[in-house]
Amino acid sequence: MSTEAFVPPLRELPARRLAERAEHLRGELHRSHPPRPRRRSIAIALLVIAFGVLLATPAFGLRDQLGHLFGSDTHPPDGIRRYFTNMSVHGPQADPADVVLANKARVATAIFVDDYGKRVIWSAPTKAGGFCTTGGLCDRKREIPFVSTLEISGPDSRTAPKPDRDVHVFFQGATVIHGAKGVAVTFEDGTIQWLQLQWVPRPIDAGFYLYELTKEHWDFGRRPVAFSVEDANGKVLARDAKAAGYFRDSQRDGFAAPSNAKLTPPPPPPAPKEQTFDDPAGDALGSALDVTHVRVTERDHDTLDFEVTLADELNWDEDGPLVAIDTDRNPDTGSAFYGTEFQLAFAGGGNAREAEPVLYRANGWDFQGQRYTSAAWGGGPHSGVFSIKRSVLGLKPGQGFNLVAGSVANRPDMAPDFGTFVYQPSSGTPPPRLGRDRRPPKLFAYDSMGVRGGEAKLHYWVLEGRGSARQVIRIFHGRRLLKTIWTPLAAVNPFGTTETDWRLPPGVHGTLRYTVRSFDAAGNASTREAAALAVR
Amino acid sequence: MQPDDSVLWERTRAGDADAFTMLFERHATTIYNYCSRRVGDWSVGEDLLSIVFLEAWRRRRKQLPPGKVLPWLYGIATNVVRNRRRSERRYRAALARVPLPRPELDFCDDAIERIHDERRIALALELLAALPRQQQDVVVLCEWSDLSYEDAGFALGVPVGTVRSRLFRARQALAELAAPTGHEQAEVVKETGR
Repeated sequence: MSTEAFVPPLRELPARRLAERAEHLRGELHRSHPPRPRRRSIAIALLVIAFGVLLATPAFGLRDQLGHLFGSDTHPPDGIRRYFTNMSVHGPQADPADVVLANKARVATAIFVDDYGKRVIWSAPTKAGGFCTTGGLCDRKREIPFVSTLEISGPDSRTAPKPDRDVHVFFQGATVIHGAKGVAVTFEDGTIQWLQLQWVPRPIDAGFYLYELTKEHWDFGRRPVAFSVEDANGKVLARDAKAAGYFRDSQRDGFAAPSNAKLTPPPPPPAPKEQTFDDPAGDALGSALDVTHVRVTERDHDTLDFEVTLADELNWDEDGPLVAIDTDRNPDTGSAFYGTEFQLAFAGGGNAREAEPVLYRANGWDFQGQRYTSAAWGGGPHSGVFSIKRSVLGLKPGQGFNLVAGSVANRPDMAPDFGTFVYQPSSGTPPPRLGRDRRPPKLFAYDSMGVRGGEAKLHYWVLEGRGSARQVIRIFHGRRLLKTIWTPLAAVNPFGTTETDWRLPPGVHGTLRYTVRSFDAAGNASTREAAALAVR
Repeated sequence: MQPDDSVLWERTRAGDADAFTMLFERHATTIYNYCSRRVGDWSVGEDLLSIVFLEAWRRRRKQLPPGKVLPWLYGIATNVVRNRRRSERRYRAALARVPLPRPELDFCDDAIERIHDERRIALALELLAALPRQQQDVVVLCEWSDLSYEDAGFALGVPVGTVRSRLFRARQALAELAAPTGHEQAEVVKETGR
């Protein structure tokens, strides 16, 4: 049966509407349409700014002044309106998320504190449906389910940070999760304190809490660990441990000193789980990306970041770096690419398709792609970052692995140039013992060309898990063997092809044939592959 | 005489907005129909048309082989339709500046025709939805939009052989789906009785 019966009808775009759209397009072309912003970078930048504001305002004593300005009146006083107006971007072209509606500000929550007075948090909606508060919290597009932040009042730029009876520690937070009823504060000693959420109706439509951390909870062993939003049944809807972490960091800086500081010294900051590899610049051939630096870091929740830095500028849509990971540190298992089990790379390019991270899993000697995984990416013009959870790679916490980074090209620049380097967060862990290498190299031979009397380049691709092999190349003219070449045992890069030069004898021309066979260090032999050599 | 697409595209690559607008005027109806048929809504199709050309403008540094401007626009349109929400978010501000349609003197006939067409598209889309996404793309490009296999392959970034095999499987599946089930008559009676 023909499928023509299912062809839906066509319509002409009315001439007047076409003209209007063309006019609209003409107007838009003169505006800048920048590439899609990197959401992760923006989130990090916002976090850094928010943290900076958090640290800076107490230092200048602004927080206290702001706090005492706020009365109990639900109508925003001039000071509050000015505060939110200053946060807003004005003008007809302003992004709705940047427009804070200062006149619609209202009290989000308030508490009364001894030796301090009334502490009030105001909130104002944004045009994009989000909100900002006087405590420095902003969720301009309603994208953050739950966020908490820290505020230490008291010390300012004229007084040294010292334990002072005027110092107060506040936590405040906001959630947009409907059904949230309260916030549970978990402390180091396992105790939990429950706080009521104050729900502010539309257009803000979010729940807020404000909490003063009393001095007994400044002591080691009793400090807050996390803030969790719970529903009426006590089910945890979202959790934030960052604000509690900021408090512990601020104690290291001398703020809100604990009374048992001398008895129990604060634990040293955890050693950053980071490992780097430097590759010389300028060693890339042809148009291959020149990899100069690879950094592996481990963040909270066991997220691994692989940052690949390049000497040249990276075109995200056309080509991108790759990272291959040998999770079991065994080059004889997994793919033939040094035994790596996973590869992270970018796919995209052409037809306006955005580059996106692809997680490849070893499938035989090769990899099989798996799009839309939990991998993320970011970076700048000279670097690319892949982020992925350990669990996705099947890695236990603290488990080390081997890795190699590079680019996608015939003769790519790899870091390291040959083999892999080790990422081992727990020092002293010995690598697994390898058995005898029983896996033969994988080999492909490619049709090559030469000029009569000149030098021919014989192309082939060798993939050997342990990374070193030698080849036997035989060149035939018809059935006549012209030459046998034994290459020495040497490092081979499975991510790129290899060339062997052969000086053509005078008088030899036409189509020759050559065979290649590869042997690894243990003597395992690949299949014999043949290709044509055209001599002009 | 009008310059051909490749010339206009080269001028666009050099930043000539007028050349790009000429390309728009030349291919607007084609892309408008493609988008509208894929989403089943003429109004949304108009917005997607604008998005496709704004996306093409953003990608104006792309070097295209001769005669491949329209297939490339089809490729963008395919991705825009697929990632409709994301695309609309990116160009939300631009879409907000589209002038509202002026009132028509007599819109009744047009409205009836639009509704009728949309109903026919909905039926076609219902059938199409039963196919895997990759097969849907080749059916819409080759069958509905009369693109050659080579151009469809260029639009989708796949070899010609892949287009052929996907189309073959899609046709087989559609023929099976459209096989008489005995309910067709009832549909007709329902239509005429209304």
